[in-house]
Amino acid sequence: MENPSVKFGGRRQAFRLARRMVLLGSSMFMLAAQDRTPPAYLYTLAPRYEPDAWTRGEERFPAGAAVYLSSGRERRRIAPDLVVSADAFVSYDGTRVLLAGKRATNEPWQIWETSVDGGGLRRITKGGTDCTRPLYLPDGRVVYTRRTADGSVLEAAHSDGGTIERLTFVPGAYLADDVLKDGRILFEVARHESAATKRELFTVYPDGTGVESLRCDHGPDQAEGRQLTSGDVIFRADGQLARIQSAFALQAMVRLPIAGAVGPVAEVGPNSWIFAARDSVARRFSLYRWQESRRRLVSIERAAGANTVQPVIVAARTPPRDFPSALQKSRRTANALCLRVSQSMDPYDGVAQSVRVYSQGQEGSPVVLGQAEVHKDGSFFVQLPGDRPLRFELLDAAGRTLRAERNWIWLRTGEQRICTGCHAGPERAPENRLPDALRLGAEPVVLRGTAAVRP
Amino acid sequence: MCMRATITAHCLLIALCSTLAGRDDAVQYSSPEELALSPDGRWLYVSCGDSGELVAIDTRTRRVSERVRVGRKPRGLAVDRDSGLVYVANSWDDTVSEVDPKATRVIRTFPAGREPTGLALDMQAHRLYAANRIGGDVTVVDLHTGRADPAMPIGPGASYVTPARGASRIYVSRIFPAVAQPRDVPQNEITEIDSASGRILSRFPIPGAGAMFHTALSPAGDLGIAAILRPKNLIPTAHVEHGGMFGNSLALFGPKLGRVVMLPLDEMENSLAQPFDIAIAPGLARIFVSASGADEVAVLDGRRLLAAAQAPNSGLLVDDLSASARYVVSRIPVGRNPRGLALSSDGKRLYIANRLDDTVTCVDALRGTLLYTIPIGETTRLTSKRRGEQLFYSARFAFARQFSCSSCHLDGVTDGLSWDLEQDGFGLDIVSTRPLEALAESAPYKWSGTNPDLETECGVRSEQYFFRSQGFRGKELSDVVSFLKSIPTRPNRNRLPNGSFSPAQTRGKTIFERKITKDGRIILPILQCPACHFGPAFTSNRLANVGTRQKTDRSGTFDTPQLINACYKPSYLHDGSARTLKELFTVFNPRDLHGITSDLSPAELDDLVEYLKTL
Repeated sequence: MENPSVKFGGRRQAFRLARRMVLLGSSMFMLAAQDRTPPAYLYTLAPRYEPDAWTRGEERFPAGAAVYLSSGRERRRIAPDLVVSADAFVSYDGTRVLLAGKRATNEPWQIWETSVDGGGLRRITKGGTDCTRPLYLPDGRVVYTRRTADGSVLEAAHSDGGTIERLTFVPGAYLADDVLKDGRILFEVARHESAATKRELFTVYPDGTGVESLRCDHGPDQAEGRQLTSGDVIFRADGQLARIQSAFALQAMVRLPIAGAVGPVAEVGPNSWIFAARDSVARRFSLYRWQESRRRLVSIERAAGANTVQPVIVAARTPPRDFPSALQKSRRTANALCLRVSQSMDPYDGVAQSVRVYSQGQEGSPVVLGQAEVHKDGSFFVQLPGDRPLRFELLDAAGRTLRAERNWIWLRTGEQRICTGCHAGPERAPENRLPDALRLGAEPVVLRGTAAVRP
Repeated sequence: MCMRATITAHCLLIALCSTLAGRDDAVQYSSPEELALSPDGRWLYVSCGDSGELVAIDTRTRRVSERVRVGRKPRGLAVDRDSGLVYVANSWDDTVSEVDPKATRVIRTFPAGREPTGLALDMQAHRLYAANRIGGDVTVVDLHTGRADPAMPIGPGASYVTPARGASRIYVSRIFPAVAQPRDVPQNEITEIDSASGRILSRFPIPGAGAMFHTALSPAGDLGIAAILRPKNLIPTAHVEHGGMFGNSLALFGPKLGRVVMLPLDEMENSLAQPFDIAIAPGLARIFVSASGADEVAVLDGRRLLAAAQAPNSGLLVDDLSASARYVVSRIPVGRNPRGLALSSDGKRLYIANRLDDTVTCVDALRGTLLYTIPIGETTRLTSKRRGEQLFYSARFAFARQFSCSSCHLDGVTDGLSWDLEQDGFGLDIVSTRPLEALAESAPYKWSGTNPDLETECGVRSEQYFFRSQGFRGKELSDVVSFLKSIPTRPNRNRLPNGSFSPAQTRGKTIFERKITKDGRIILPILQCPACHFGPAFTSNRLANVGTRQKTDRSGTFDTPQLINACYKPSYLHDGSARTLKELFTVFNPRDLHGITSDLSPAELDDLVEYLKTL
């Protein structure tokens, strides 16, 4: 879907835009780096950068953008055949680059691949809607974000553009962030709560299964996540950088001597990253190198009249673990086993007797799929439709709602999913016991939907 | 002419070296397993499981000083602080060697139980305790006389034994939990023995614990810490994330706590797979835990660990993967498959036996930094089998590095548990973990027999349904298969030394091979034992229906298991529902589908079992 806020004026304007990009690139200057020169890196040069615009369905680079390679003193535009380019992501062997770009300003964003030296540009995605934020999957496929009528979806495609697999199945606004070392895709989901838009980091396997929040803190706005070699995930949280570590259920802020930092970070070495930041909203973003152990921040890339953002190191690195999908293609539905509904970060009063499951009907209205018994030990086992929005609600004996899930999730067709509890949090491991829902039979409850629609 | 001869000789040498390098049996590994320090800290003793040696390292020169040949598969060590003598458990010889390290020779050899694994000394009483894994008991040897008292029954898989309070108390842990029924929660325990009376004082139940390894006691003896695995075998194995398969944990007990408290070692995305040995620094300042699957040693703050255990909500912490951040200070990467630990008496030096690297690592225990690594054996040439063994014991393939193959196949055998594997559906086809002995001859694989070869079993199937992450592929897969096919078979203790059968075994063999019932009816060939159990591994390599289908099974036909060392299995049948060999033919063979056994008297059944024990 074409973003209405972006006005492109055809070939002539495309030429102007391209020329402006070149001029901006040539006018860049390097501040005196007090540290050794960082390795070659890519960055996006953009007259305007609105990192949050995508959550409103708007353009992040309303005045165009171009990806540059910084190597020593040299600055060179990558893929100059594209009039607009951004969102660079380097392959794990360090030889190729994925980009979101346009060959003409009136075209939608598409995913492109080129070599680091700029040759061999080729288009991966097709269609009339914007495709952005590409990432390489370890199996050779590419995951990216495709704009839709009601937001965006994540898709994975083979690098030849064929066999596209959709990975998200709840209408919403998604943006791919990174591929974690364990093979999961890190992405952000935008939620509109009252007046504010809040983003949250989620993970999903490359076959669309196992979607869940990276941490169930549901706290501050979280965006632009990227994983470091240590396993830590660094992201933007409320205008600063924050960190999620394997050992902790909650995020910790990164204390920086500058405000207005945005992700993604690019890891230079142990405890050393490059990221974009600006002193005030009125200023433009520049790239800084941060050495955490020495608490040292050095400006490394600044462009007159433009933002320098989205740094990416050009180097080989260990690819993530490949994910072997266990989806049962022969199954037409999904199964969900909850081990103990009361296992929750938000305790509730009362005893859950049943669970009601919703999906979405026309225009997103909730539709009851049916109810299933919650066994005495708090377990239930239900069969669910795959690839559809789902939401669970716990009811007491009188049918009163004890706890209702706020957000929608999905299960892939053929997926078998186990939940430790209702909103248990990723830090909560399951207790080893045979749930009553399985002790009494291995068949899931088939939901007999009613026409009842939740008010 | 001379040059030609030189070139020819050179080529021959290269060819010989290439041939030897290509032959797995041409390389002998040491496989250091357990460690013990001499009282003055000068000598570090290492039991080397694969080379059958006790190795002495001079900690001053940091070199191997002496090698003493002991028995087969030496494991547990104990050092007499007064005499300096070293005791080594020869687990495959069922003996304990008494070694004089100065004279570099074995002085005496004591008999122990079946598969002595861990040792402890009570120097005041001059007693040696040996925990016997297969025997499930503890042998107490009077070091004056060299005689062993009647063994103390402990339970299946008794393996590690730790002295405390000047050896007035002896603590024993087991690798096999007690499981009444296949779908019951496993429960393990620590047995406390009063050394003076030689009686069992108490048993501390550890609910939910599967395999338990070493236990360490605080110097005052008021706090015990055991390394445990907490399997999630009752939940379908649909997820590995969030501790879905194993909880790598510690169990704390003793007067300081007044109860047993379990605490996790794992993190959300990074587990500390297979905790094995524990060392406690003076004053509880630091606690070290070797993680044999993670190839790391964890450094714990002892006081914070104790505080977590004493917290009012400590019972909830064991399944909280953010709890370890309270007390795990750091993790030190060491060699492959780190096992035994030895901490110097001043708490400054920690030694780690890297079993599958043939090295010992020394760590600055105060700073948590690597100091040096000492080669023990072959550290450069890696055969395919050895590489496969390293992979088999490594947790890096499982999601979040939560477990390795050996988490279930403990030391290549079994965990004695039954699991709900997800690929069949939830709550269906509950299957017991099979031992891996005589694996090469036992295709097809999996209880359903759906995997035709080990490449399928260990390749795509393992990564899809166990690791949930990229598993063994290409060369790694062929290395793992190579190792699995070479797992040595434990010696069978039920055969007579000359290979002949006892009278009972002979009678049992006759029953096994009979073709007519006691009343003269012909037994259908398909119901004769050798129809399914024949050949080198006593398997037909086919599926069979022996009437053991449970209501959770989708099919009644199962792979015919190999019978080599079947007597050592903690349970029998595809779901582990039979607890003894005899139960196979009584409780679980009511319709004579598993051979004709209804006409046999109890004594004849005993004879049949005695024969099966010899296979």
